[in-house]
This record gives sequence, structure tokens and C-alpha cells, in this order.
Amino acid sequence: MGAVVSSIREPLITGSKTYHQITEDLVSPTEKTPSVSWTLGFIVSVSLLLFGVFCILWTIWHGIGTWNLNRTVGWGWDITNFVWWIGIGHAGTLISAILLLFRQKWRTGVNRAAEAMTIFAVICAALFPGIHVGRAWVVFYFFPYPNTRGPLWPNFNSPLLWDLFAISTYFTVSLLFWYTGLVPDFATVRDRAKGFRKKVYNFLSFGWTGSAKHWQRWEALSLVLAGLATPLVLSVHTIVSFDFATSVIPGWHTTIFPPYFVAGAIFSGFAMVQTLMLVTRKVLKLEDYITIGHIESMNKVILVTGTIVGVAYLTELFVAWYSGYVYEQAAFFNRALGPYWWAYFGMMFCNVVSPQFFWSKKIRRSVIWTFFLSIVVNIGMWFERFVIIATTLARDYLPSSWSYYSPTWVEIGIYLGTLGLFFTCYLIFTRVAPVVAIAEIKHILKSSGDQYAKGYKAAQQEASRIESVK
Amino acid sequence: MSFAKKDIIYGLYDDEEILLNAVRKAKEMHFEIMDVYSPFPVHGLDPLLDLAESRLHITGFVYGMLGTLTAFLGMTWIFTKDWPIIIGGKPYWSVPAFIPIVFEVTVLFAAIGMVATFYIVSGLGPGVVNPCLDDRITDDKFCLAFDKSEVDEEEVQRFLEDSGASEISSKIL
Amino acid sequence: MKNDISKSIWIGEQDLSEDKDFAAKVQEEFAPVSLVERLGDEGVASSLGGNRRDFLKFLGFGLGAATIAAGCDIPVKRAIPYVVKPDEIVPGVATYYASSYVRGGDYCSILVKTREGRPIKIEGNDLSPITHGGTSARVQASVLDLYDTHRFKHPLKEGRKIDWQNLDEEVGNAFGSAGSIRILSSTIISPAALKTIETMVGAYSNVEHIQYDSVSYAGLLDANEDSFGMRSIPDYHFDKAEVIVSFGADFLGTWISPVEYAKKYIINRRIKNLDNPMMSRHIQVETGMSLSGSNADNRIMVKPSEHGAAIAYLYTKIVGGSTSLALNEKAKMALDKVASQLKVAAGKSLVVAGSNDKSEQILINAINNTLGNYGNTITWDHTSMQRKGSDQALAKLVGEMNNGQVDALVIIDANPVYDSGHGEAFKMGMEKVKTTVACCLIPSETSIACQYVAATPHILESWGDAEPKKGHLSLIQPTIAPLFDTRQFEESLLTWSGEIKENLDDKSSYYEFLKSFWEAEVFPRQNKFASFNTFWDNCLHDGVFTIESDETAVANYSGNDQAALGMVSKPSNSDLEISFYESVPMGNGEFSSNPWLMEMPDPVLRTSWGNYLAVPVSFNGVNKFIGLNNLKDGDLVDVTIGDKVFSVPVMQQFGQMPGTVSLALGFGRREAGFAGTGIGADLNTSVQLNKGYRQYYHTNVMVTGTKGKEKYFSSVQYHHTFGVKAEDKKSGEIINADEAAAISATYGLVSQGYQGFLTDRSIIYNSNVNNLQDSLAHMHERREEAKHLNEQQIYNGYDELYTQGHHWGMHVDLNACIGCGACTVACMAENNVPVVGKREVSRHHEMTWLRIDRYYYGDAENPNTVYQPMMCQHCDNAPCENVCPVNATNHSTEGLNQMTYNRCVGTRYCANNCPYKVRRFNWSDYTTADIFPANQVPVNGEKIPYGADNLTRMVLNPDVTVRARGVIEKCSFCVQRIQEGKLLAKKEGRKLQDRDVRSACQTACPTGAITFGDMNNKEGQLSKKLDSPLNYIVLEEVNVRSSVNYSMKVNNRDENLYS
Repeated sequence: MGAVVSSIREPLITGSKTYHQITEDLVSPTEKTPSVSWTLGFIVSVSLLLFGVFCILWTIWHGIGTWNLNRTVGWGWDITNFVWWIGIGHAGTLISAILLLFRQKWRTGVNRAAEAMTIFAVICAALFPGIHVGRAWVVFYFFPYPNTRGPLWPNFNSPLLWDLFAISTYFTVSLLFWYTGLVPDFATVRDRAKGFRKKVYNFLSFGWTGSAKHWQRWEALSLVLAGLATPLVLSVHTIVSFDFATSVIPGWHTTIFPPYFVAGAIFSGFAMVQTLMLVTRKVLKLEDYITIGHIESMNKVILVTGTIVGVAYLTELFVAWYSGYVYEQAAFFNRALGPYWWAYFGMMFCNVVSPQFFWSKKIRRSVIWTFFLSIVVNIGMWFERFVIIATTLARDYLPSSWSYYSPTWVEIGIYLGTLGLFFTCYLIFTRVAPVVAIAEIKHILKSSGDQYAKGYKAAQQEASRIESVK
Repeated sequence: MSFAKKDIIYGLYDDEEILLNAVRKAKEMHFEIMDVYSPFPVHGLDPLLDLAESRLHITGFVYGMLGTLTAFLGMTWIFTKDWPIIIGGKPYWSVPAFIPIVFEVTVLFAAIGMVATFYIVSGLGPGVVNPCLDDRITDDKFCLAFDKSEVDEEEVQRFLEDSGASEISSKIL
Repeated sequence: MKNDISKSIWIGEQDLSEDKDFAAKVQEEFAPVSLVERLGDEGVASSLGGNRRDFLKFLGFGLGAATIAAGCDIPVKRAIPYVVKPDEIVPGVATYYASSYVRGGDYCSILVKTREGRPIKIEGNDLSPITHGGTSARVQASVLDLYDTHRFKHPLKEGRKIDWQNLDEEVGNAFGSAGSIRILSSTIISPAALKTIETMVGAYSNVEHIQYDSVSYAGLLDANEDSFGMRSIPDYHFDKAEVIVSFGADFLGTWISPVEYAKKYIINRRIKNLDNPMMSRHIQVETGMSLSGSNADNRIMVKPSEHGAAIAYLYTKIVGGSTSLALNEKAKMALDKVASQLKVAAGKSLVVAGSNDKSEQILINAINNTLGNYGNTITWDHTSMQRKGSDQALAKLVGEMNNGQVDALVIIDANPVYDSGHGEAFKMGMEKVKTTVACCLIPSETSIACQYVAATPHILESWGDAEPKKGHLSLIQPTIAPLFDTRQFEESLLTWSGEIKENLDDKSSYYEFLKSFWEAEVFPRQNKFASFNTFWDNCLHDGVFTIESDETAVANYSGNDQAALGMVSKPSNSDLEISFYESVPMGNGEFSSNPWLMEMPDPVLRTSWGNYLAVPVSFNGVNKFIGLNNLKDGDLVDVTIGDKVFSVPVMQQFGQMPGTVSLALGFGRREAGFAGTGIGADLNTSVQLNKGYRQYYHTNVMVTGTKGKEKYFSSVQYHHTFGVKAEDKKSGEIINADEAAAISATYGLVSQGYQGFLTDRSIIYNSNVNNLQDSLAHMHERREEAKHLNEQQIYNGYDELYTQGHHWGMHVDLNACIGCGACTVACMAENNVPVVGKREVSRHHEMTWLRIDRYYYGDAENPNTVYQPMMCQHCDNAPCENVCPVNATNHSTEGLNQMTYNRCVGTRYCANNCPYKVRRFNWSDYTTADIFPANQVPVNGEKIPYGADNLTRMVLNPDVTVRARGVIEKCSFCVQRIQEGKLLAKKEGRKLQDRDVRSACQTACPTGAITFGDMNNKEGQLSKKLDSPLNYIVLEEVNVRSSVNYSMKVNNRDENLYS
């Protein structure tokens, strides 16, 4: 593989690691007792989660009437959060799948954590379609199974049902992909473990031996799964966008949604990866594996997708004006200048303006800036979904029915609850599994370890020499 | 996976390059290599061990097609035969509306099928305990193993020493 | 149940035999009295846990009891149901009885729909020459009062239970010893009831009967006495008038007999001939926007105190003479033109006034007389008896009471303590009266101040008659045995006057009295029937009977109008005046205990649950609509009227006279059941006497700036305009003010928001009758475009399927719709639509399946109005169906968009995707059908959630599912009626006719604006309506293929009136 990578590329693994050190660095977090910061984070997350659970029970007991949705705005924070989480859930599979196909070595540093994030995000997302319904106890009507009611089948024309299929498929595939990648590393943990831990990890590692044939099949599987996951990841948000695009409501009924949603998803996904990885590498001291180089590459992706999203926004406005379709024009005027103008401008700033800072290499490579902007971007993407859903509904065809919507504490509580759920899962994950793919890192050590990247060092020296001459 | 107990002699190497050379040598000397164990996939090993290319992707295709048919025929039957319902002025058999689900089910079947196949044929799975020659194989050691019943022990011993194995030992599994 | 063989119903041979103890058993099982225990018992009602079971138990019981009660008692008295004889009562089949709705002077001839003996719905009676099958919201809602949990369940003394014998004894003694007895009632239009009062006059010394109306028409009556020598109201023929001028008379909403007038009014408002379109011109002179005003072509705005001046001005223009009274120039200019138009239409014009000032009404009579309208548009053949009240008599009574000259006072069906305008004085007077008796249905401010309450039954439990207009008689027959231990006031009077001493427990005595009265008094007046029994049966069957008289009554005008001209009161020069008006649902508080009417939004203001201060709104000439004192919708303000201060919320009202505000009467009740108590502000305390007449405005008024937002701003419409035009200050040209306002839209909850492009939306098409052709051309162009777009689609739908069998559709004539709201209440009654209360309405959680959108268009300062009934459009390409993941909503082969409640999961996706926003979601357990009491939101802080008690549930329509929490519901085109009609036609082996299937809104509509039917039935009414080129489909370009057609709104506005 060495040949594939130009030798003057920046190393992806620093600190002249040996195979054994890699094992040490990456497995030890699962062996040590949790740090104070971890414990604190865990307590906060769990309490958020518990509050969320309370709010959900409250909703189910008292009815959706405890939310502020109304006859005009039938979806608010619930579906906004749903789409937001799904979007976040796109980075993982994208990194592991698409970057694998593109042979992007830097993915190895982050794919494991990113995939984990994907899975947890999808869990959070999948929660909302379940609880936003008026009669949560009959959601099983969604599933097409032979039943005693006819059998009465679901409506396969409904984008909401497409969602069900898309999300469950996406979740399953991501899970399989992720776990298959984990098996060899669990084996590594197993072989260092003693007693009960050994038993547990023996179970988790499915009895992995590292036999050549296994490795061969394993690589083949990863590649084909990646091949499957790539169109899948694109399809999922496309289908989510169909929820709106196939409707008749001006502001929803637009063909631009699929690409626009996918770009937005990657955008927010990478931002969330940044947020998490920056914390993780600090807390677990993984600076040698998740290098500034990694961060920069992801920032580039954020910059690109952010700009795509921006273009999409402008296109929408242009088309609204150009179409001459009065409802569309009114809808977009209201988005920008109607009662929800603040949401629209929040979205515009966070998603279109803020990523532009990444044109500067300094900011791109600055941990602080990246962390801050990644959070800004996630806020922006939340606003985008809110603008699309609530704002559009609030003023549609008949002026007589126009209204306004703002959430109750219950709706906010459920959102916080999902954040709690997400971080609880992630924190547990960092304790039980290597957050960086050990085998894959070892695999690229020779090609991307700094001690091997002579060419790069030379280039650096050359560059500095030229500087000094000038 | 060996059911009968095997008496195995194996050498541990510190680096995949050395391993590769050793394997190459062993082939020249026509030793029957039982297996090679490594902490990560070592490229260039498969041809030396003449491992046939994996056919997983073919199975994947088959599973996928299965999914396609299940979804498409299923929906067709439900909406045209089992219980036709007028929905939003669409014809009962409104194919364009079926596409998303057909695609998703295709992917689902392919993925689940392949993964299942992978674990079954590799004899891996929850609770499976495969005895391993050395704990460090999943860490930083590369192992070249021979079945004593198939090779001359002394020759192999000598060969391993020459080929730069850091350790050599035997185990009965 | 007497066991006489003559009885036409018997349940088994024991019933016929003289088996005493069986009879006894039957008695205790089914005697209405036992209902009292069952229902009066809080225990049952409050045990929400067992609600549904209790409900079923009750239904079962109701069926038995009511069938026996209603089914047996009545035939014994040979009541004859409208469609089938009650001995054919079949569970599951509705029985209709002809009867009459009478409340004070309000009258409507009705059919009562009973199921298993329970009255559940009121329909109009087509045979009535007065209402022609029309109804009003009040009439539709009255059935709910029958099941009002706050009704008196037995007679009371000092608030404690007492039985009738003792009550009669005590009251009888008191009357015997009384020096003077006064009987105070609202207007009584029942000849027999008046007869019973006469018996009192005969029986005791110094008995006087005083009538008054909660909103006074004394000025009009006295004026007519002065001008024509008869104190009654003539017959107004709005159908014969080409020019109608109304000075603040809301004859479509509340004035005397709105249903009757609306029916006639609309005849000349419909476009009959498109090539030469003609319609009457309606000019409304008023302060705030009334229902009539909103339907008028031109409105002339005057301050309330200027009404007299305006009338006087018109008088001088038409009759002659001169007046010095100040009047705003605009009005003068307009009235000049109006005068000339009236002169042109002399004899074919009609001028009415809502003023309660005698002299002003005399001037109106003079004007009509000069125009020669008497005998043409105003006749005296069938004078109306619907208002008889006298302010002087009332004032005199209050005086006597306070001087202690009244020993006994009987108050019948009236609430003077609240609505007489003498509230405090009257209350003090009552304390001086030795014996006070109230005969009423539900507790009121007055009844709690009385010593005795002789509880009366609801009109649906009563016998009676009515003569709303001379010669137009109708009967009232019970449709259910009295639910409680009540007694009609007529019967009470008969008892107290000693007419009937024997068998007091016999509830039939008033029936006998009524019948003999008709035999003696009414039967001779007619010559159609030879035998009384056939006459009686016929009247009972039809509900109405008209006595034709050959000679036309003539009344010669002899009014002293010159003197009257001098007596017209001067306009005040105060810069802010308030006008009190009677709101369409509330009246003057008589209806505020009725949750349906409380929840029904005021047709013009679009607010419910409280009276909102209508403040004028004006365009600032640049980019803003500014309300009085910068007030916005939902702001709380303090209004100081005289020396009283009210804190009320505000609505910006287009077409409100600048320098005035309006506020509705009838709110702020202190004792009106759970629905009415403490809702809104009580204005009756600010009603003053002017020359002895109650005056419904006040000139000494102050309105503060905003004092914060109302907690629960229960308006159902936040955007009111549809592209109103106004003058741009800079350029001076007329611009689309809506669009301009958008540019600097004020953000926030009640923002004007973006209003541009509204005029381009294919929601409302309107036109002036003079350029109708152009407007039609424009509309058809738009429709062609839409049709062209709609052809570009991948599926071709089910057109061929819908051409076979039925294809249900609807036509709504926006020209005929006056926005009265009868249909919305009818829909609630028919479809068990829950009442959700103020808080929920303020959160846009109202559940109405049918709403009436109200938009203002045209001149922003003085706009025209269009009402648009909006219900599920049953689109053939229904967007809601595509998106439902579980197929809970789908399409029938008859083109119905159907909801399957028990399949619905409640994603609300369908509601989001509905372009008409007509789908409603059960946010909480509004029907209290759920087992968790926690889900049930109180409507107005009541202990037991509204509808959780069995009594209220008796009104539910058993044919319509009561929806549980968490499911979507919407208009079903009254599918239960469709099925019923199809079944009927099938049983009779014939094709379905229009009459078989009529939706609830259609039957309720007083003007026939709504036509429902089978679009495939080419002979049917609907198909005929659908042929009209005036029709359009709302949002046609969305290609959802709505099954509801609307017809263009045409007005006859005279643009030059103001220049």
C-alpha cells in the first residue's frame, strides 16, 4: 500500500509508535479505572437521559397536548430533532464507507468512533417517530407483518414508511459494519485480559484468531459492506427529505431536497465527529492517532459541505422567485422575514458563514476554533430543520389558518434527553472498546507512521531552509 | 478449525516483512504451512499461501437480489391482490412509490446475508472459543504455524531459526 | 303510565292486564323521577374510572326509559311524529318530531331528531312559512341545554329542595295575601301561555304582567304605536327590496327574526342571470362591523351617538325639513347618494334601524312612508309578536318594587338582575318583595336571588304553542319525558290560579288546557278543517299552521315626525365612544351557559370564550396597520365606561368607525353554569336610560394602552385581510396595503406577517356585479392555467371509477353565505365534535370540522367581507392519503376521503399535508373517553371535565364514533347520513334522491348556501349548481382535485358613494 500514498504526505501517526505501543495506547483506556472527567460527564449524561425519559412518560400519559403543536403546525421539535439526529448519524458510515472506497488512510484514526456515533445518533433519531405519534402504543401498525386485522398492511406509498425501512436498514447495516470491524480489536483486548474480563471479551470477539484466511474474508467483507453502505447512506437522508419533498406544502415540495439534505447531513455529521473527537483525543490522550492532520481533513469536508448547503439555500430563494409560483414565493418570504426570521438568520449564519472561517489554514488546524465552530455548525443545522419544518407549516396556503408555534418544557426536555442518551452511550463505548481501530492503525503504520515518513521530514526541512534563505 | 488434536510447531516474527520472506522461503522448501496468524491483514500473503479469492461479494449479490424480489413482489401482491385500497388517486400498482423500499430491502438482505455467511464459513460467532497459539498474535507478533504430522519437525525447526523467527515453540491444540 | 286499554302502546300482556305490581315495577324502573337519582348523583358522574361502563349502562337505560317514556306517554296523548309513528321506534332508527324552538321572542320551527327516545339534533322545518327550514346557531345549540348538568332538577325554596305540593301551598298562600302581584317575563309569543297568565289575573287582585326583552326593542314598538296606532312589528320583505338601508339593525345576525330575514334577504343577493346580473344593494350605517354590515355592499360609518343624526339627515333628504345635528362629512356625502338611490327605488326600498330611540324610529317610519314602502316591502298582515317588551313598564316595576308596592313577583324565563339594565336596583327591589318566584330552566343571577324556584322543563320536554307572527301558529310537543322533577311555568300558573287543583302529580294537565284552548280559540279562526281532531293532528304533525286571511291589513301612517325630528338626541363630541352590540351566539347572556355557543367563534371577530374589544385599525399610509392606541390583537386593556373599569382583550377590527370601539353584550355572567360563569366583561351594568329607553352605547369611555397580553387569547383566526387596498401617503396611489405591511412585518405571536400575493391565491374570487364578466374571464383564465398544469401528471387517477355509482360532492355559494355559523354548530351536534375550552382554543386546538373563514377585501378603511365555509374537500387526489403510513385515511369508491379512527396512529402527517388545514388532532382526551382522568382538560375550570358526565353524553349522536385521544378527525361529509339515505332508498327500492342525503351543515343553513349531493346524479340539485360559471375550486392548481365547489363572491358596492 505504501506505493499508493505519496511519501511527502503528512504522517497520520506520530510519536514513532511500534505495534506494541499502539496496542498499549489504544487498549489501556478500557483497562484503567475511569478518569474524573469521564465520571463527571457520565453523571451529567445519565441525569439528562433520566429527565428525557420522564418527559417521554409525561407525554405518553398526558397526550401530545402537553406539546405546543397545533392545528396548523403538526410537527415541531419532535421531527426537527429526528432529522437533526439522522443527519448527525451520517458521518460515521460515510467516513468508514466512502473514505474506505476512496482509500483515504486518515479515516482509520476516526472511523471507529464515528461509526459508534452514527449508531447512537440513529438510536436517538429513531426514538422520535416512535413517541411523536398520538397513540404510541399502536406504533406497531407501521410494520408490515401478517396480522389478524385483515391482514391490514401499512401504506407503502407513504414517505413515513419509507423512513421506517431506510432507518432500520441503515441502523442494521451500520451496526454490522461497525461490529465486524470491532471483532479483531476485541480479540486484542481479550488476549491482554485476565479472568472474567477475558471471558466477556472472548464472547465479544467471536473467537477471532487472526488467521490469514479470516483476514482475507474480513477485508473482502469490509469492502463490499462499504460498497453497500455508500448508496445506503445517501439514500437514507434522501428518503428523509422525501417526507417533505413529496408533500404539497409550499416550501416542502421541492426537488432540491435530496442532495441538499444529504450535504447537510454530512456537514452536521462531521461537525459532531469533530466535537466528539476533540474531546476524546484530549481525555484519552490519543493525540498521536487523531492528529491535527485528521482534524484539518475533516474541516475541509465541513467547509465543502457547508458551502454546498449554502448554495442550496440560495437556490431555493432563487427558484422561489423565478418560479413565479405565489405560494412558494410567500413561503420563502415568510421563512426569511416572517415571524421566524430569527431562526432563518441563525441558520444562515451558522451554516453558511461560520464554515467559511475554515478557508484559513490557521483556523483549520486550530483545536479551539474547530471545537467552537463544530458546535456552531450543529446549532445551525438544528435551526435548518426547524426552519424547514415549523416555519413552513406555520404559514401555508390558507391565511385563515396561519399560526405560530413554540415548544413546551416537555418538548425541550425530550430533546435534552436524547442528548443524554447519546453521550451516555458514547461514554460507555469509550470504556469497553478501543475508540481507534487498532488493526487498521497497525495496518497503515508503515505507510503513515512518522518514523517511516522520511520524505515528509525532508520536505519539511527543505521548506524551512527556503524560508530561512528568504 | 481442527477437530482432532494437532501437534503444532510455530515461529513468531516481529515484523510482517520478515514473515513474508519466511513464508516465501517455506514455499520454496515445500513445507506444508498450516496457517499464518497476524494482528492485522498482511497484504501479499494470500498469493503465497495460494488462498483462493473470497466469494463473499457473489453471495452478497445473490442475497441482494433476493431482497429486491421479496420487497417488490410483496408490495405488488399486497396492493393489487391481497387488499387493494385507493390511496390519493394513485393506481393500486404505483411502481415509482415502491422504489425506495425495494432499494432499502435489497441492501438489508445483502448486508445481513453476507455478514452471516462470513461468520458461519469462518467458524466465528458469539461464544466460539478458538484456541490460539500465542496471546501476542493479536498484539505485535506474526505467527507461522506448521502441523508436525505433515512436516519434518527438525527441518522446520532449523528453517524457522534461519528465517529469523524471534521465538519458536510447539503446542498441542 | 296508566294502564288503559285505549293506549296505543303496550309492551306485553301484563301491561294490558290490571297487574298492579307490574305496573308499579315499571313505574319505579322507568318513571322519569328515577332519572333524577341516577343523574343528579355526583357519584356516578365524578367516578371517571367507570365512565364508559356507566355511559353504556346509561345508554341501555336511556333506551328503555326513553322509549317507554317518550314512546308511551306521548302516544297516549296522540302526539304525531313527523316521519313515523313512535310506536314504531326501532333502536338505531331516528324518529323526527315537529316542534318549535322558542326562547324569549326568538322563534324557529324545528324538527327534533330523537334516537332511542333521546333528542340529539335539531333540524329546520321546511313547512314553516317563516323560517322555511332554516335554523340559527342558537337553535342548533339549544338541544344541549336539555342535558345541561346545571339545570334545576327539582323545585327549590331558599336554595333548598322542596316538593311541589308544599311549594304550591306556600306560594298560593302568599299570593292570596298579596296586595299586588307582578308577573315579569321575557316576551311570550305563546297564546296559551298568555291565557294562563290571564287566569292569574282573574284569580288574584291587582295582578300585572310585564314583558321586557333582554335587548330592548321598545323604541321601535312605541314608535309604531305612535305612527300606526299598533304596538307591534310589521312584516319586513327584504326579498322585495332593491335598496336596503339599515341603521345599525343587524337583521342577519340578531335583529328580531334573523333566520326569516336572512332567507328573504338572500333571494335578491343571488346572481340569477349572468348576462344581466342584478342584485339588491344593501347599505349598512353602523359603528362596528356587524354580521349584517359585513354582508353589506356599502357601509357608512358613524359614531354610536351619531345614529340619530344620520337618520335625521336622511329624513331631511327624503321627507324634507332640516336638521342642525352634527354628522361626519363622509356620512353626509354618502347619505346624500343613498337618499337619491332610495328615491329611485321608491316602493322597492326598505329602511330599518336597530336604534332603541322612539323618535329615531318614528323618523324611519316617516322615511319608509314617504318612499311608499308600506304595503310593498313592509306589510301589516302578519305582524310580528316576537318583541313586546316595554322599557317604561320595566322601569315602573323597578320603582314599585323599591317602594315596596309589590308583594309578590313571579319571574318567568327572564334574568332581569343581569340583563334588564336595572341590575342593582332590581336586585335591591327584590329584597323588598315579600314573595319572589322564578320559573326557569337553569340557575341565573335572578333565580338565585328568588325565594322560590319553580323549576321548568326544557322546551323539548314541554307542551306549548307559539304565534310568532299574527296568523302563523305552531305547536311545541315534548320529544322526551321530563328528565327531572320539573313543571312548565304555564302549569304552575294554572295551579296557583286554581285552574287545576286535582291530581297535581298529573303532568298532563297543561296539555289538556292547551288542547282545549286551541279548540276554543284557534280552531274557529280557520276554515280548512272541519273536525278539531284532524286539525289538531295536522298541526301536531306539521308543527305549523297558517291562518289565511283574505283582507290585507292596512295601517295608515299618522306619525308626528316633525316633533320627533326635534327630539333626536344630539351627537356627543367626545373623541371616543363605545357601542354595545348583541353578539350572534351569545344574545344578551341568555345563551352563555351553552358550551357549543361559547366555543363558537363570533362570526365577525373570530374570537370565542369572551367578549373582545373591537378597536379601529388603520393603514398608516406607508407600511403598517395600526390599531387604536397601537393596540394589537390579544392585548389586554382597561376600558373605563362611565365610572366602571373593565379589563378586556382587544381585537383589531377592520371597518370599525375611527374614534369608537365596540364590545359585545351577554358576557361576564356571574351565574351561568360552568361555561358562562366569569367569562368576559358584563356591560349591562353600563347600559343607561335615555328618554326612558335603554341605550346601547356610551360616550364617556376611555381605553388605555396595552396592559400586557391576554393569558388565553382564544381567537381562531390570526390573519384577517385578503389583499386590502389603501392609499399610499407619498405617491397618493392605491396600493396593496397587505403587501406593503409585509415589508415591515411586526414579528411575534399575533404578527401581521407576510400578506403579499394573497390576492393571487386561488382561495377567494370576488367581483363587483358591474364588472362581473371581466372577473369571470379572469377567473376562467386562472382556472384554465391550473387545469393545464394539472394534466402534467404521471398517474391519471380514478376518473373512470368515479363516473360509476355515487360521487359525493358539495357546492358552497359564497354569495348566499352570510357567515351566521349555524352550520358550524350543527356540525358539532351531528358529529360529536368536542368542546375544548378557552385555553385549548388559545393554543389553536379547536376541533371544529367545519369553520367559516372570514376575510376582508377592498378598501382597508372600509372593507367588504367574504365568508368562506371550509371543511374537508374530499379531494380525489387527497394528499393526506398518500402520506399516512398506516392507511388510516384512504378513499372510498364514492369519492369520500375516509378516516379510520381505530387504525390512526396519530403522526399528524396528513394534517401537515392538507392544503386546507381542515384536519383536527385530538391533542388531549377532549371527549373524556379515556381511562386516565389526567388527560382531560377542563373547559372552564369545572370539577368534572365537560362531557364526562352521563347527562351531557345523552346528546351524543350514536351513529358517529366518539374519538379518543391521539387520533386525527375531520369532516366526513356526514357519511352516517349518506349510509342512512342509501339504505332508505334501497329499502324503498328506488334511486337515491337529493332529499335522502343532506349533510348537517346543509340542513342547518338558513340561506341554502350549502348544497350536498351526488355529482353523478345529473338531475340532482348539485349538478345544476355545478353548472354555474361562477364556480371555482379552492387551490385548484395544487391538483388535489377537491370535490367542493365554491361560487364567486359578488357584491354590489357603489364605489362613488363616498366621493
